Amino acid sequence: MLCRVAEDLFWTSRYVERAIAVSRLSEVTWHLELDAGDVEDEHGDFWAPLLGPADEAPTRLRGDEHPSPDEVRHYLIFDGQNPSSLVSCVRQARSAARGVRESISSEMWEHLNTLYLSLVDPDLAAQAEDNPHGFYKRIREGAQFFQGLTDSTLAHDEVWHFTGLGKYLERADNVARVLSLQAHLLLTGEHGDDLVRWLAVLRSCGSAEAYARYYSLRVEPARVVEFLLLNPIFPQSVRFSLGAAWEALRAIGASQGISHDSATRASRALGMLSAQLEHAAVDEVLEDGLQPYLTSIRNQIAEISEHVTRGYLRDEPRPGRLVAVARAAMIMAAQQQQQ
Amino acid sequence: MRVAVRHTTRLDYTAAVVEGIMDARLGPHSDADQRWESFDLRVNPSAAVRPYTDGFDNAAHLITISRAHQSIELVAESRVETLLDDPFVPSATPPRPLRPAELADYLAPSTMVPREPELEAMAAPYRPADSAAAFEAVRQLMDLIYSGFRYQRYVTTVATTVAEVLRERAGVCQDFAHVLLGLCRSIDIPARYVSGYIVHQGQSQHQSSSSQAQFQSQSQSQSSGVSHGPSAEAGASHAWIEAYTPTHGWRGFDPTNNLVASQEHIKIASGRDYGDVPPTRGTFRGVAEEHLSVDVVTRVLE
Amino acid sequence: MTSNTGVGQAHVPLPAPGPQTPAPDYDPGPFWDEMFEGPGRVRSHYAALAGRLATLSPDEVARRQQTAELSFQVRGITFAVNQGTEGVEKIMPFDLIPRLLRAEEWRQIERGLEQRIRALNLFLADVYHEQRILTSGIIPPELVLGARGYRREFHNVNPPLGVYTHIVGSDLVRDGSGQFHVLEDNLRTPSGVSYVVENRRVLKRTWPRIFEDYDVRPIEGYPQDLLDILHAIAPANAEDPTVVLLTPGAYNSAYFEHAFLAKAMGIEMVQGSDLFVDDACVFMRTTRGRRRVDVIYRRVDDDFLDPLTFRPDSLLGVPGLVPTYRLGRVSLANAIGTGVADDKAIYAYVPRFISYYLGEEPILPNVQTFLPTEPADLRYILEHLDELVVKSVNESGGYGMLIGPHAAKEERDEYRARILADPRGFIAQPTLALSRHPCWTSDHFEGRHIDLRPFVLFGREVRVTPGGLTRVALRGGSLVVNSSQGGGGKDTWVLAEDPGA
Repeated sequence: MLCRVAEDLFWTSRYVERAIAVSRLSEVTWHLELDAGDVEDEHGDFWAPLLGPADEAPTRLRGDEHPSPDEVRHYLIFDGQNPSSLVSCVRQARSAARGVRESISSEMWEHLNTLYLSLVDPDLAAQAEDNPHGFYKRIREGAQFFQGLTDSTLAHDEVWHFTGLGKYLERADNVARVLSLQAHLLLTGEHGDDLVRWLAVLRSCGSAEAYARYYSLRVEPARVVEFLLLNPIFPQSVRFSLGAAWEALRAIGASQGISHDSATRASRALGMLSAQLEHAAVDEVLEDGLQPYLTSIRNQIAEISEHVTRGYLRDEPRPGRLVAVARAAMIMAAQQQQQ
Repeated sequence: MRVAVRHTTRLDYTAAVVEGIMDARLGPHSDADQRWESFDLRVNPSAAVRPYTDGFDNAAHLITISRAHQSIELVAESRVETLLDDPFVPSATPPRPLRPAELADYLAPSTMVPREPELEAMAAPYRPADSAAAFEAVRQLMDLIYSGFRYQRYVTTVATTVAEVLRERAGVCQDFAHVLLGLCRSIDIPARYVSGYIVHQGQSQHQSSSSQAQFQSQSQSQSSGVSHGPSAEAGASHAWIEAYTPTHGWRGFDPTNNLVASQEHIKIASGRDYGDVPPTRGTFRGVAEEHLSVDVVTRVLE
Repeated sequence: MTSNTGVGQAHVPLPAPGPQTPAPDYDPGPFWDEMFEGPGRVRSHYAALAGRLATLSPDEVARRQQTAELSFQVRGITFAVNQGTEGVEKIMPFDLIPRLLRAEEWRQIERGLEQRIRALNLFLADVYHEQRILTSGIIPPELVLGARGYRREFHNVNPPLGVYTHIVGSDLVRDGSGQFHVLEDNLRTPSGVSYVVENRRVLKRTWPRIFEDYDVRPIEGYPQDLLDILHAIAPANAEDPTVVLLTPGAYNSAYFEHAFLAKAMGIEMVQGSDLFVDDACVFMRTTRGRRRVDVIYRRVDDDFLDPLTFRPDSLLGVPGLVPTYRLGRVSLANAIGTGVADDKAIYAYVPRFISYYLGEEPILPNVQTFLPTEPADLRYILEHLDELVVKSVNESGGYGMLIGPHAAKEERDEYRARILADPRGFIAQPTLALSRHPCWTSDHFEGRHIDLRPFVLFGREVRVTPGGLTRVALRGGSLVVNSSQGGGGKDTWVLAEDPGA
């Protein structure tokens, strides 16, 4: 298939998955805020940590020691300047899909397009404030429906494998990121609402019910981490996602005659990371430090994405931006006839 | 006279690029007035080179380097014998009349030589009374430029328009050629742009230029004012025009040096204006800055 | 129910007026009506269709009409109306009643179009080689050499099979006497064939019964026929040629058709950035590395094809494509420079091309055309602006057009000024009384002006797709049929033989 098509589908898939993650995270945080009520404590602002470490936060919110929840919410959900806001994710997914409409099913395109058009409404922010739960749910379900259509209306060929690769890499990255953002909730607080917080972490990854089935009601921080990171059969876990990504990459590579450098590097790196998670033990992870561990995973995922891009999607090195760069050729300086 | 020419074009990039594609017009060209004896084009790093003939019957080469590279150097080595002794002598047999397409090409405005009222006004007094006077008319127009314009580098670029040159009254050979084209066409004398080399009898001339303004040649005799004689320095290749008169057929007129072209002028290609015959033009893919340098060495043989 | 005494002669009495009569009050008016000879008198070849219609109540007709339109909507058979990032996509309005053409009429059209496309190809080959015609006195050389579509850079290229125009859409109109005329030729990137195929499909699904009464020549073979031609023009040494369709991208108004045709032919649809040239071969970038491309069905204009030859700012093309084409190492359909022959001023000379190159009389006449570059014509035009249709030579889509009889004085004055300022840029034609066809307008039938765009394929032989796109001016009295201005379409049937013959 054409590199451009593979790349656009890869990113469509990533943005859709990201939209799901952002909507879930927002919904959970909103619930937490409601539950906490008026209690004031240093963990009372649930929104600010979602901006991530100081160097990742947007400049205009950085200077502000305590950005208000409204500002943070706006940034995470509606801000067009934030390439990872919920609205931006849907817009970019649709934009990438539009260029390759003929490679996806018409149902996929129509559904994604409709979802996007519903977000173009100028009263959107007001509507979302009126009924946040309804809003988040609608977007999340819209994105999930798109994923369902992808699986059921595309032949499971190279095209479908690229969408899978994108989805699972994104998911692994998101779960690692959410876990790292929400890790502070796993610390024991003084208000006896630990359970609520720990469950919130699970809910942020859509995993609360599955966890309960696995571990019954013993909710403990270490078990939460284990579940989200290392569970082999739950589709939201990092380990599962990386394994599925690895399968997709193998299926793509299997039909290749020649293996070239970056393609091989992508396979090896993904294979190794996947294996690493298969053999990890949560106690060791927690001992060595959860944050560094999560950071390392995320860095490796970024590298794998880079190798995939270089190996299959385009030739030249690509800046680590999420927006597709213009693929224009440069015009050589022409010789002026000067004599 | 027999001349050896080496024309080197070098592109350097600040980072590795891929998919370099160049369309080059560096020769060879033979006609009644010159015989191109040998032509050798080398490219470094090694590239695919495909010769072809373009829509104007010029010899061209499509040069491609797909893999990563950080520079391209083209070296064209040629031996040419120029045959025209006396360009002032009318041709023995009446020149073939131009076909409609040639008239359209060489009388109509072109992309880089659009219609300019100022050119028309400038040329009007020189409109020949009859066909026998056309040759002299072009000579006078050539002299008009030679005396009225200043040779000066770096005030114009590859993209400079005729209007800008008229305003500045300065430029390089490419600019003067465009102005002369405009003047000739204004008085209905078909004229075409010529890309080529100029040789200076008796000495080998080393003409080089670098787009980074860093050149060490015995500099320019750029006295403000009028340029004198064949410039001994600077410049990559040369540009002049050919005008068609019923008495002489196509003859070359070099406004930069106020010469009717003869043995010292080696023609590579011709077209409506520079845009049809740039020595090289191309594209690459990547994120890098480009530095162009050109070097032309001519040597009279025997 | 009827006896056909001869083609076009039968009088078909309609069933008694009542709720079941399809068009008891239908008045063909002073125009040639495709279906009705006169009030109440259906043409013989429409008899069976009229009979079917008579069995439907207005509600049932409306329902079928809606079902058909819904089918287009659901399949997303749209075209973009406003270019730009948020293009508005519309479906082309579809009218339920097919337009029927008798076999004998079609034969004349077929022969006439074949003759015309051969002459046009010889003209193009001549213009881009010896240019004999420019010294023949047949046509002013400046008209050809100054045409906007003329591509100087394309001289002396020898396209495979000597064919320049592989896909042509010529627009035909029928005048008040029933004679077909060629209104214009489209030789660059004619579009609309996807509607031809879709209209047939939708009608078959919405109203299959009407097909039982007729032997309609099939058109579904178009994609295969086109693919055959694209294979036939592959460079000589290409064994299993790779064919691609080059599109400007999703923002182009005909994008749907590009995707449709690519899918129907089973070929890859690419954009300029997916291709690159190396060693005078064209390659496309795939996840399996580079893959050689042999033939490009290009829906990108000449100017944007190659930044090293044409517009340097074009991002839609492939640097080095034209030299590669010239070297015969890739083939393009249509060839470059075909626009010189579909310039509207050149159109006026096509009948003379037919006699000059083929030594024949045109089988299909032109519409009378006045050229402002001819002094006598210019005088006539300026004196009769209120009777004439004035067209800009290089516009399409119904834009840049003055319809004299319908225009306000200011508009005519504006055109007068424009014509005087740029006589080469316009032509004028008499307002034709285009033929009409009954069309369903929400609750009854009314006559609407129509034209016909058959598609002609030219490879080793000339093949005219039986039928084509019948375009309908949806507003009563309007003569503008172009889809970008709200025109609609009908399925077009070429009858395999005259019914009852």
